[in-house]
Amino acid sequence: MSDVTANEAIETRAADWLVRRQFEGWNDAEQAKLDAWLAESDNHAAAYWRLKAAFDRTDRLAALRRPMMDRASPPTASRKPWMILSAAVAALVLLAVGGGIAGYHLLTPDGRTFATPVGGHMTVKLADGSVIELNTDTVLHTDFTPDRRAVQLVRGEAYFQIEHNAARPFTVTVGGHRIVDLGTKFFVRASPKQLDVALVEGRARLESTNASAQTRPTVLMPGDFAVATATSIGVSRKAVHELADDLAWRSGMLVFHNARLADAAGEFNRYGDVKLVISESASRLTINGAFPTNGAEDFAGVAHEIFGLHIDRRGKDIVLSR
Amino acid sequence: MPTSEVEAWFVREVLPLEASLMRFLQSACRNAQEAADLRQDVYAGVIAAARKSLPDRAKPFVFATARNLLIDRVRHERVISIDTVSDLDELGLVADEPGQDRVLIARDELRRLRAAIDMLPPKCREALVLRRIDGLSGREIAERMGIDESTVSHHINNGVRILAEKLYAEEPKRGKQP
Repeated sequence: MSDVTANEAIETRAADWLVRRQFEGWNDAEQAKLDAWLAESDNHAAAYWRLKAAFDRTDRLAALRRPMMDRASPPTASRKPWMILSAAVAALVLLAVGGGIAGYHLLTPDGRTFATPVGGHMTVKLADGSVIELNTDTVLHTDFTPDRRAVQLVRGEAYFQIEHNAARPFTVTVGGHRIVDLGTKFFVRASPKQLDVALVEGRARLESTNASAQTRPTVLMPGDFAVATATSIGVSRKAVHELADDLAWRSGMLVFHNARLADAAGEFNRYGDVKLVISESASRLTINGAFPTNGAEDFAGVAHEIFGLHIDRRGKDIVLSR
Repeated sequence: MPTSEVEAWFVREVLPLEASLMRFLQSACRNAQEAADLRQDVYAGVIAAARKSLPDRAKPFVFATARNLLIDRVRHERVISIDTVSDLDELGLVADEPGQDRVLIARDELRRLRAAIDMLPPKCREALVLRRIDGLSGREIAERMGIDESTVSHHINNGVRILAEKLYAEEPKRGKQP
């Protein structure tokens, strides 16, 4: 049984590790020392994990961090960090209050076209038990026969949860590519130049519909993120939480991690009539956070508050500049 | 069990129990400091066991560990009244609601964080906020606050420990709210 001071000392030491890890000079050698200290005693691990979990939770407050380039000239007023904190809270509260655009269910006969308007979101339950969710501005045809289930994604983005049936394969065709379900949850996003496919669960095969194409069929595993163009298919890995962020639109949200303002604005612009335009001078600022997909106005307000950007309304455009 | 899994389990299943665990320990201890000390031993015991295999249900396991430690203390140090210990079963081993959604409502979590940060001593708060929200380095924080870097570390060290006390002192809300 350890005495009071021993455990207190351990906690102080644990906090010390946590602080040192945050700052300069942290390297593999330091990490090895920390690992050794943690392995020394479960008391050490308990204290460190407990503090680290609390500290990690403050990450949420860092949702809107100032960009790297601004750090050289810190704000003069000492109250600035609190203003930033308030704005971060404001942006994240949107996550709770912004319910997103309501999806609606349709029970349909097979063999027809589904479409969502800009800002729309629709869940289609197919007779075979498969479910397709359409994101904003999406058009999709289904053509089902007793021995095959063919879907064509004409444009936009959709999330598929497929009831696998080897005798009645499920295929999604997008442009010159085809995805063949092998028992799967995946999402597909078609944009003019490329096709993104991310596999959440199960397996699927991605192949070119063009017999003479140079690309070979690729079997996708969970976490695989494939980018296909007319001439190539590249596959990278995404962590589960990254895929979840990519799919936040299913609950009406957009999630950004160190996203450039210009890229974030591009995402909002897929969902609303209001178009965000980021001037060249502000495009490289980066932002973290979660917003409702219809939150372009709020986003502009937050960008104004955090980065001091000017908001200039031109018709349906909101122009943000420094 | 791989250490990372034990840590994840500890953070997910055990730490949310801290508020009720502390009530339990405080009912048996002379002072808050002693309860915090016991808590640390409870956690160490729980982690040691979890390294072999993760318990099916965290709550009964954590409280059983706590009770055993209290009984040990009674035996060795005679600091806790036996009466208290005999009452512990009904206090601690109330059935958990397993499988409940522990997703915190973002708004609630932010209110909680905000409240915890507001309660920090001013210097601790400033240093922590500059680090976590503004992402400043130790040197930058030192310059900004007009103190040296080791003092910054000291403030953050204190801040983290107080923050953990405040954050875990409140029972997490479970499930979703309208």
